[in-house]
Amino acid sequence: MSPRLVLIGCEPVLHDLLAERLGEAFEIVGRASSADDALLVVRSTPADVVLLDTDLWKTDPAALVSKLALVGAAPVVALSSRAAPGGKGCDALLGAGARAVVAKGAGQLPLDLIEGVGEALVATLTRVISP
Amino acid sequence: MSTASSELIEQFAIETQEHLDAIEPILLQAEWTPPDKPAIAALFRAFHSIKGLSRLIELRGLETLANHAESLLGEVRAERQALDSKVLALLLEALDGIRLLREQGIVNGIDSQPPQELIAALDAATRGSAGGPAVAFAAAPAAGAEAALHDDHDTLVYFAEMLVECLPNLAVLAGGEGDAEQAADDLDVLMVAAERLQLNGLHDRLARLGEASGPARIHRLAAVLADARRFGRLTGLDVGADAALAEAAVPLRRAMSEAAGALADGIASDPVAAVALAERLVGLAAVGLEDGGIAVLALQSLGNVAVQEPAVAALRLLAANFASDGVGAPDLLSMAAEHLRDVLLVGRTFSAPLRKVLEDRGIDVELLGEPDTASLVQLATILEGGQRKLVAVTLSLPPKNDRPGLLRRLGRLFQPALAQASAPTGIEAVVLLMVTSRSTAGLKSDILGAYTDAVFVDVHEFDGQAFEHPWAPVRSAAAGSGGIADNQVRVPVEILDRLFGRIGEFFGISSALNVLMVDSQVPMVLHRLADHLASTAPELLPSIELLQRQQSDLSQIEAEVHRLVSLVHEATLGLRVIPLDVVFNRFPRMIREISKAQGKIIRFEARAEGIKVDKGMTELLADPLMHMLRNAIDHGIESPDERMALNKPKVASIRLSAIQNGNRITVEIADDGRGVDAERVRRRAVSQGLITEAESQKLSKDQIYRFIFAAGFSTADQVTETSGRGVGMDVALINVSRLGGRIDIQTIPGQGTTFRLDMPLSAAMQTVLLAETRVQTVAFPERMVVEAATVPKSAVQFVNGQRAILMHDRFLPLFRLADLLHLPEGPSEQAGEDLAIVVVTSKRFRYGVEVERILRRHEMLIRETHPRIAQLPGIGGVSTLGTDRIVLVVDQDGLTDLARGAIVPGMRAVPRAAE
Repeated sequence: MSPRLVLIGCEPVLHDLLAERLGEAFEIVGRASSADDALLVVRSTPADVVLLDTDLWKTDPAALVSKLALVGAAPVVALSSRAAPGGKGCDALLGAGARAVVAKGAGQLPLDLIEGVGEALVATLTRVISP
Repeated sequence: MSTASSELIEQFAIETQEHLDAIEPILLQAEWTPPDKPAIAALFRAFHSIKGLSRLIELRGLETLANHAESLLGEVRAERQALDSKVLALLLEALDGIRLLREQGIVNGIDSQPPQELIAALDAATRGSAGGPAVAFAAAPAAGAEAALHDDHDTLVYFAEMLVECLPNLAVLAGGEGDAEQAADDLDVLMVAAERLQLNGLHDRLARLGEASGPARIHRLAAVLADARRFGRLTGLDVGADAALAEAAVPLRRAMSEAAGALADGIASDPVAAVALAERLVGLAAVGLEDGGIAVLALQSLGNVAVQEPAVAALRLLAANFASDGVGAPDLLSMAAEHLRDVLLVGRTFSAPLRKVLEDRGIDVELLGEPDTASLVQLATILEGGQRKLVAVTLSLPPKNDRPGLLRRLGRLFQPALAQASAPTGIEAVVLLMVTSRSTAGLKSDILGAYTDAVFVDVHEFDGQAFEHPWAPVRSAAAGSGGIADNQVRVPVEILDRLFGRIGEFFGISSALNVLMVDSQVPMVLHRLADHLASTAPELLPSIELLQRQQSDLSQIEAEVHRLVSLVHEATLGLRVIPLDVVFNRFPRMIREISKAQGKIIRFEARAEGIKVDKGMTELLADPLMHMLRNAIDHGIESPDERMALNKPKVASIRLSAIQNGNRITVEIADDGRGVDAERVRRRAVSQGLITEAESQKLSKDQIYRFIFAAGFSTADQVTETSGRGVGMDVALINVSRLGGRIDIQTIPGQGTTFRLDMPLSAAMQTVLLAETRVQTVAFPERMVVEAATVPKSAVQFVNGQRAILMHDRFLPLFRLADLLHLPEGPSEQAGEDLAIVVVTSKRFRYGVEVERILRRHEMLIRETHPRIAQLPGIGGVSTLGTDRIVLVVDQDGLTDLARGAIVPGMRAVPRAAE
């Protein structure tokens, strides 16, 4: 049985690309594109891991990470265009309770989800699920 | 009315119109769905504003009427009066009265008094509200509310108090001091409370703390304390985390020291174990221990050999500091952390010169995020100067399944520094930021070569001029601007139209020049002259070379001028775009009035889906839609009694909707009425002399339905106020044809009719294939062209008497364009053995059209067409090429109808070639 993933992101193009890319390795049990929906889905849907695209939220994405960590038992992995190692963005997300942060590297829309960021994501999500 | 200045009156006219436009849709929708509180408040505010504006220019009568309407709405807002049909009718009547008084004030300067009966009725409704039924408000979410952990703040406060009380007692579970039994009880209490608040993450970690044993306990406790701190931070409440930390300080510090030491030892030798150790360290640091930042930096250092040494040094310091119970060297620790951070950020920050270059070109560097080293290196090449420029490429995205492959290909081919999704004009797109030495036109052509299916590709150079892109500073970005009003300038439409007209003329002249240059024989003549003079008068060759150079320079400058003029022209076309709602919002009231007059009950829905269209298009679309909607009410929708007898809902439905598909727009008018009776239409067409009985019997149902659009055609037995004169649907077809569109009808007897208007979104500009008959230049809209080919005359064959040609294993019927359009024959210039053929398709019919000569693909501005020309069969519009060459633009469906009509009987079905 594939691990269960909740996918959260407010940018529709990437949201769909991620769903398609990760749908091969994970069972996507919930999707949300607003903070309210994200809390609802994470609260009500048993999952093994939550992936949050932290870009383009109108509110602080680190606060959303904290909320998701509080309302759901599954580890939260953040995907961000503001996650340079040593940068303040990565610090804030990890401090807020993200189990891992994957950097997009070149802007908010990673162009290579087949390999590149896509592979890094799958590896990270798989790692945080394992006990 | 006072002698208010014309500027003040103009302002009054604009602002009151905005309020009136806001009021009507809410009132009409309220007939079907109770409005929510914000909608009632919006109504109240709108009437209130009209009152205030009227007072400003001393239109007392208007002020009085708005005031009485506002008072009634005040009662509704206070829930003392229901917004029932009677009140709605009164408010709509007041709205009409306001419109009339406003018009008289603006146009004639007259301060007229409102009808006293209306004022009395509004007063009576306002007074009579005491004790009346309260209005049922639809629930509306609190605007702007952030996603909350719980709806009830008191519950959150109560839980925070529980944490303050219970958290410190949990330390004993992880080796701290305290009463173990009390801790177990407190753990249970917190678990029950967390479960009730649906804080499932915290509940899970509390449960795992209860189950833990051995060294894992301190990490489980740390996870609980970290969650409690987050809860406190999010709610702004004290949760007693510091007290709990103090109770568990000893085991926590020990655990930190051990984990930091182990990570320092294993960071190089066992990468997998190092990740687990670093995560554990971060988990411990999250409880709020000082110097915990090193833990977070250490996790980010993993896998980066360049930072391994400072990371290990910082971790060893951390381990030593926590092992010595705080008697370490805090200064050294913070210096180590700073150093580690600096090393991590090498090659990951914007240098000052790069930041300046980007900002000078209109980019807000903060909006670029934190790109990786490769992206920054790519961006930094702009500093090398030369031909390099910074460009934004916006290109539409293909269907979802094709996106991953396309995006990867674009990334590899063009190596953009950054990418971001976008949706200009509602089409999903990607915007690429890149540094390139290519010209924008060359780059566009490269991208189109790599992505042939692109609906659009735009390439903009960042040159400091503001244009819409995702990284624009907020002050110039179209989206995200706080004060919309501050960024807007109202310009009278006449001034804009004049400007558009002049730019259009300028574009026309530039296009003419471009045509002259493209078609110019000068380079070829100079070349031949040079060849000739080489042997006869070589001393003249330098002069020829000079002419050739000047010709080449002229050609290049002309191309650049044409490109810039085209950009300006495109930009002005964009300025003409207005929401389709402007048209759709005209109809709810009209439908309400007509249906009431006819005793019909119709629920009307209009959904423009935020689509914006050219202003000229809205002007041409308004009439067709009005006629088709009237037609639907008059002929489509049955009376309530008829509907009930047919077991249909008493309330009929008409839906007006629009969807955008790439650069086309489809507008649908769907009703659930009686449908179109093909036999009745046929008989009427015969009786009105539009076709003979015998011919009519040969027609398919689809062909019969087309009579609806014939001039003067009507199936109505009686002429009503709104319909039955046979005027309207023909106008609809003419206007839609002028927009380069077509109308399809789908009808099911007894169930309803759908009219579907399919049009190009930007009617003004069309890509066409230019061709010539012997006397006339014609343009085929690109969407109808399948192929353009030159074939030997001997390839023409006859199939059942019909001229046909074999192309791609398929016989295509072949027609002369001049014959189809009834153009005069002129002398042929083509003496050769070849035929020029444009293969076109429309209405599932593919056929060949023979022309004298195929010219080229061309972007053409389709001009306003005289109705007489628009009615010519097969002609969809006219334009000009160069300075004076008139071009007829072919109408896709019209030409196909002509071709179908001209086909020799016996070749109805297109035969397949023998395999």
